[in-house]
Amino acid sequence: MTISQQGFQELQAIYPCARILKESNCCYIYFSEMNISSDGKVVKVEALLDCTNKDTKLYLGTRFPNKGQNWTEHAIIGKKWHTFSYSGVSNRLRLIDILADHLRVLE
Amino acid sequence: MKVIFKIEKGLWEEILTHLSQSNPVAYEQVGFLSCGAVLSKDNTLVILARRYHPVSNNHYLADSTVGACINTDAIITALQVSLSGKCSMFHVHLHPHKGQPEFSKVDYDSNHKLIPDFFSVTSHMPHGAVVLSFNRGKGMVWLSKYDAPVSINEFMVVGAPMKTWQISSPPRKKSIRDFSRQESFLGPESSEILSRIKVGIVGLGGGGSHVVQQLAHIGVKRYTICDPDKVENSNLNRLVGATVNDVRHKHLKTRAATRVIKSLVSDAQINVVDKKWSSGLAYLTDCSVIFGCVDTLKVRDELERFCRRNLIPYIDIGMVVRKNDDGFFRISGQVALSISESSCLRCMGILNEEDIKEEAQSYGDAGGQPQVVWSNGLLASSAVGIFMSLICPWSSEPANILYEYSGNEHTLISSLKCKYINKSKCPHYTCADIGNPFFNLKKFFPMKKTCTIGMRSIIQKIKDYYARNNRTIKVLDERS
Repeated sequence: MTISQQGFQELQAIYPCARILKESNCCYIYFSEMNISSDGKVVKVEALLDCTNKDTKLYLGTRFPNKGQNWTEHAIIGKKWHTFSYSGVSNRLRLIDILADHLRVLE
Repeated sequence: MKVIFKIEKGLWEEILTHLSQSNPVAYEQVGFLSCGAVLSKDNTLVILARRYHPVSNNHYLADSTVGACINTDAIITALQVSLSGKCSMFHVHLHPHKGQPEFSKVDYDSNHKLIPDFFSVTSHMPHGAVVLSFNRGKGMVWLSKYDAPVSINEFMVVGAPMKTWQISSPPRKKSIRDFSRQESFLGPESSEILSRIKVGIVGLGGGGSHVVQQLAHIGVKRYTICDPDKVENSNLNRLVGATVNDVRHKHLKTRAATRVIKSLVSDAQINVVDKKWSSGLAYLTDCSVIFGCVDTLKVRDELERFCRRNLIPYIDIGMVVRKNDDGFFRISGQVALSISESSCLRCMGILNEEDIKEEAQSYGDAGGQPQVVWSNGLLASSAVGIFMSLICPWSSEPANILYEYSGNEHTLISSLKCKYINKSKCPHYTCADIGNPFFNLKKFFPMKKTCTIGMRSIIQKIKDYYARNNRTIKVLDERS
């Protein structure tokens, strides 16, 4: 699975810090700084969007224990990440929609 | 700060082959190595070689006063590689002999002129120079454009077997242990190697506890041990070194493992990660080998990726008890070695996306699976055997990468898959994956103020001027 150039540019328009990183056969989009509003506060976190698998996944630098469920810890690209149980966001969607869908859980 | 330089065996051989060839213009050939880097928790900088970039023949200049003189195009090409790959660059050349090579005065001077320029294009990475002989190497690393370089303390050629040497090793304390029964065939230097290298063990249950115990017996001194769990009553059927007292006092498995190690190696250095292993990545980056004794496929997958990224050989053990149709049980398992340039766990069929996904849907629950001490012990012993054949080989035959265990037949045999998978290069990992893409020197070594550096350089120039004119100068205070 390769990341569509057009989709990535759309994402970069909102997050200029977005950068593609690869590991093994997986392709990730890394955001060095993403503003996430949770519980009325805006928190800056690092984020990693895995859009290689059919079921996409959003990994975050910190946990939001009051949001999402079944948080798990992972080591990807030499760094520790946290993610919540949320499946069904297909990688066939536009990248921007994939990201929005995952972020909705944290609202 | 300690600096380790790691390079894959195939890449090492590729460089030696190129540098040994004659050049139509110069006396010797030179090249550049693009590298990644990572910094461990105890301040060890690990330089990870990725790819070799030989200097093109038409980029040499005829100069009989030096071994090789390269033109600006060669330097621009190397700068471009560094800029586009956001990577470290190391100048490489060969002194064609065996044994420890040394930088000559010309090498030293030209490196000091050339290497700092790489900081103009990639300032967040270290850069340096390496001189090789046919079987050794020496190097220096610049951490900034202005400061003096530091020496590389240790080299590691990652392959089967591994080759490792230290530059100017400090005198070793004499061990109170007598290793003569193993040194006799592992080599007189085996105890020194085992006391120097660092080993990571992830998972200290049935398999990991055996591994820890055996490593301590053979004399490994430096460890990173990871397990977040406490010793439970149901672990005592297989957890070597754990006691009823550990269960009663709810001790962590890392505590039991530490006790086992310290009882055999009193001066052992142990990094304890009593959380999930992913919380201790910085303690694992400078390991020479990592053992994975874990239950889930997801952790295996992530551990292997981490090891590949950091050029660390990964030894995986796994065991499962399944019920047959006839109502009886079958014990099976495997010991696998995943090492750079060779097949990975995916190539071996141990990992695949479907199984990982299925496991994720059951939330990776591997708890309550049957496990027994004799199978765990056999697999762990074999894993330690593979480790020893990597570090201190006693035979010309390298260890295979996959062994399959049948607990019903009591056999551990080299997998038939080895015949096929060994021949093909792993398609899942590339050299581009090597190193930490988030590495930033400035985060670890903040830049000094330019004015101070400028002043130092001026003072040095003054000192040089006075030295040339046979006069001395005493600097009372650099700020004055």
